[in-house]
This record gives sequence, structure tokens and C-alpha cells, in this order.
Amino acid sequence: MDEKTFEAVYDRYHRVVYGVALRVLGDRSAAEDVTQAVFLRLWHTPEAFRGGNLGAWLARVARNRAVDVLRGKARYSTTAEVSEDLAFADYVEDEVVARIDGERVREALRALPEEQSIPITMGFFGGATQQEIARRLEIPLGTIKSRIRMGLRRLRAELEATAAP
Amino acid sequence: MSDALDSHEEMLDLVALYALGSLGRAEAATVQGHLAECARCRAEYAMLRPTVDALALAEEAELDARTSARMKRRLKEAISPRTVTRRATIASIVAVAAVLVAMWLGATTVMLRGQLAAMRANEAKLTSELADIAAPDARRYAIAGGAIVRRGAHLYVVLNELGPPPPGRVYQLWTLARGAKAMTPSITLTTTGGSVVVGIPGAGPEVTAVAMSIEPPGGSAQPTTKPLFVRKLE
Repeated sequence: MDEKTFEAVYDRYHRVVYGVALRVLGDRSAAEDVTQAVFLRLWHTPEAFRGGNLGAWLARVARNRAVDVLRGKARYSTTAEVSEDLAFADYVEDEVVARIDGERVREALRALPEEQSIPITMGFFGGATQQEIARRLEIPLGTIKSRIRMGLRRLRAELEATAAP
Repeated sequence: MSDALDSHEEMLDLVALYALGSLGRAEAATVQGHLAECARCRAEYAMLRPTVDALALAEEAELDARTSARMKRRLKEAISPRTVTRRATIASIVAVAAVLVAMWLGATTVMLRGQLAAMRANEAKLTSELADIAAPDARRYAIAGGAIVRRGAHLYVVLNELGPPPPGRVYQLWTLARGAKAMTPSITLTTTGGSVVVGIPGAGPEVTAVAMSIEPPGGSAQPTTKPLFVRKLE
């Protein structure tokens, strides 16, 4: 990747990376540091991105890095990472991601019952494991698992409906 | 039958948690293993993961122009050619030092031009290598701690956090040509460790495997230690 291409990628996606980090950390300065770290990783090891949607990949890397910071880890994480690899051939470019509209996504999340939206938000932006979510909400683990799955499925249906041309 | 169904429902719940990033490493590894074998769970993952991606992408923040410019300036400073790689840094320091010595000695401007041309050529080579490695049509073969990357007639070994070789030893690369029975010695690496991106000279499409071993300085005609990796390129 030459510097010009890298700069174009940065211009296109730094707000997403920063936004994810800010949502997780709630601190502008820490979010800037995470943004810097995410783009330096792309620059130094571009082969870590193995295809798919670059913005989505950067957002996942940002989320994982920010959660590491939140948990006070310097470098290696042992819990609660979003997989950064595609890993499976049948995961293809997705309409929901391709036609993303931020406000509609946030609206769809708000429209979920709280019993689903809260565990989803705690898991993704709070970096909490299923056990931590269950403990904090004082709800049985099995219930948390099914609520998260149902919530994500419902969110998916909402996004598909709003992504329709 | 019912138990099997219940257990699969539980796995589907875990797939959702995996997509969300709410599993520990061990649980995530279990789900990953299962996904490799189960088409139904793969379909669930393929549906839910982009949904989670959408949650992240929706967080795109408004940034004022001044903050945006400051962040970009900071990043550009960090990736300037002087700091692209240790190799580039050392090359630059050596080149600048040579220029200063040449000036002190009153050497001609031809010498200066030569040094600057060498610096530019080094930078151009690095840029070209990075472009190859990041190209969408490049093929990547995973190895522990990095990858072998093939693009057209170029072959690269990319290693992250490579430890220094034992004292008095060097890393040496090996290639296996199609139909050959023995590895052919390739270059030795002068690295003292860290991130390494190295092009294997003359490695055309006939190369079907790459290996790396630890050898005496100057390299060996055949590996004298067990290779650190042997990677087939097929």
C-alpha cells in the first residue's frame, strides 16, 4: 500500500474508527490513540486484512483495541474479541453493510426491546462476556444468550427492511 | 433427537455471541471449530456478523476539521519513510551519515547525488513491496507469525515480531522448485529481529514451497537445522 492509498483509506474511515473507539471508551483522547494504533496496524501489516469490507474490518479492529484499553490490557486480549478474520468462504459482502445508514441502524437498535438491546450494547460496546452480562444484569446465562441471538436476528430483519432499494 | 436439537440451538446462541465478540478465547475457538463443519451455523454467522458490523459502522463520528487534521498529521509523522521499517530507518541513518562524512571531506556533489538516489531507490523499493503485499490479487499463505505473499512473479516473506537469531547465526530462506527433490538455498536475513518484509529474489511461479532455518553466517548449501517453517504454496 503506498502512502497516497493509505491516506485515502484514512480519510474515508478514520471517523468510523474514532467513533467506535469513542463509543467504547467515552474519552476523546483515548479514542484518538486507538485510531492512531488501528491505522498504524493497517500500515505495518496490511496483510492482516484478508478481504471483505475494509471499513467493517477497521471498525472491528478498533472495537477490539478499545476494549483492550478499557480492560487495561496493553497488548494481548484473552476475552471478548470480535473475530477480525473472515475465516469462512461463504461470508460474502453483505447488503446490510454495503447499504449502511448510521441513523437507521441506531434507530433499529433503539426499537429493540431493552431486554435485547442492553445485552447487545454491553457485549459489543462494553466488551463484556456473556457471563459478565448475566452477572451484571442478574439474569440467567441461558436467557442472556437467547436474548442476544433473538435481538441480533431482529436487528438484521429491521436492517434488511430498511436497506431495501 | 430432541437433545441434539437443543444442543444445536445452544450452539446457535453461541454463534450469535461469537459474532458479537462476547465469548472468551476458549469458547470462541470452540465455535470457530464448529463453524468449519456446520453449514447451518455458518449461515447464521454469515447473517449475524454483518449485523454487528452495521452496529459498529453506525458509530461514524463527526470530527471538527482541526481535530481531524491534527490526527492525520500525527499519523503521517508516524509513517513517514524514516519510520516505515527499521530497515528504512537504518538505511536512512547510514545514508545521511555517509553524506555528512562526504561533505566534511569535501567530496563532490556527485557523491551527494549518489547517496540521495540510493535513499530514493530504497524508498521506492519499499513502496513497491508494500503495494504488492497489500494488493487484492496477492495470494497469502499463512505461516506462524506472518505470511508468504505471492503476487505475479514476486514472492515475499512477511514476519511480525521475529525474534533475533541465536548469537553468531543468521536466518536463511529456502525455496523448492516444482519437481525438485531438494530445497535450494536463498538469501540470508541480516535482521536482528522485529518486523521483516523480504522479497525472495528470482522466485518465480515455479517455486512451490518456502522454508526458513537458522544457519551459520553466510548461509549453508543445505539446511543444517530443522526449518522454522516449511510452507507449501498450493
